Amino acid sequence: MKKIILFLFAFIFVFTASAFLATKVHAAVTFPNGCSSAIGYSITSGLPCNGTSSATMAIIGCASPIGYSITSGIPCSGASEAIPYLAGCTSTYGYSTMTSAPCNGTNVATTIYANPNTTPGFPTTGTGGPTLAIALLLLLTVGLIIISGMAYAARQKNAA
Amino acid sequence: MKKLNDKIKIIFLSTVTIVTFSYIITTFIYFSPNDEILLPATYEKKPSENISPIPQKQINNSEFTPRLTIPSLKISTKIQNVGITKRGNMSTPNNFFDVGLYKYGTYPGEKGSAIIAGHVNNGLGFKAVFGNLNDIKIGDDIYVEMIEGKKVHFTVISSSEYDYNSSADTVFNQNDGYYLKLITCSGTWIPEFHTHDKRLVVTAIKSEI
Repeated sequence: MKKIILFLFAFIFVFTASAFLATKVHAAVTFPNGCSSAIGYSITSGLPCNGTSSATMAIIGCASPIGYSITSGIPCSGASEAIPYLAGCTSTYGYSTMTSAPCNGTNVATTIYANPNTTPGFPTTGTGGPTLAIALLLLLTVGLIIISGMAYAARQKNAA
Repeated sequence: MKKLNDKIKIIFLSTVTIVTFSYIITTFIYFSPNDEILLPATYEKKPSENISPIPQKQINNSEFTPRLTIPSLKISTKIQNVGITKRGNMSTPNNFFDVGLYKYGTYPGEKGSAIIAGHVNNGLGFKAVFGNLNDIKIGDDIYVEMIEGKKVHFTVISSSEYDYNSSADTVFNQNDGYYLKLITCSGTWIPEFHTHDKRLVVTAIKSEI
């Protein structure tokens, strides 16, 4: 039982620690212009902050360095502000005129099929299904951890 | 020594619990993925002169956040600017408390249809900002304050439902008056498409305060 509880603690710790590390904004040390860490892209030049040709990405909820994380809302650039476009790009579509890399920050360029000059479809303004189930599962897990922890603490106290 | 160990374990347990709770609350109750794509700023529409006597620079300096108020539903919330998703749908605000104004369309108070969308529920299934929008009645007042101290008054004239995948042409492109249209999800959840099957559209028309 003790091992299981310790394993649970360790698992939750690793999970939460990685989530927090990913969202942490590092203090500026000696990074390229427009970078506050080695993660992501420069907000001024759009070039990778790690000094290589491909950027390090470690932000949960980001598929590319552009815009904001869909889970935490923090900038996907890894800096304090989001970058709209990469170097040599004027949108997230097509390829950079400087680096020839896709402007969406992934390996495959996005084709334009959304046009603000045409009438958009209805927005998706509700949630349900799996999202609710996942949230409830997480809440249940936390509840079980609390109960297990309290039981463990009480047993330790009684034993003492 | 044993007591110290127990204290450390309790502190550790409490920390883990608080952090996990924060993560759940942030992910499922506050932030809402909106799947919006960034387009060149040239696409973005600015409020026209007739409703924006204050230069844009001054508006930014005042740090004023536009607001939507519906007294009958006890709604008073911030308005975000939203664009489109990569699928070509109107995007939504990035949380469950604010509403989103379609930034490529008409601004509230201008001729045409200004579109504002808000969530009906959050990640835990609780009511979001437009959770009670279906309770709105014809004749109810709606106020939009895009510029500090300058409210535009609208009165509800109709409420209707559309299929989620039907054309939104008549909603976005009604140009024979000064309309404000509020949109939220309604109907039932379709698991395979991750959306509700209907959209509730409340139409209001500009009137004098």
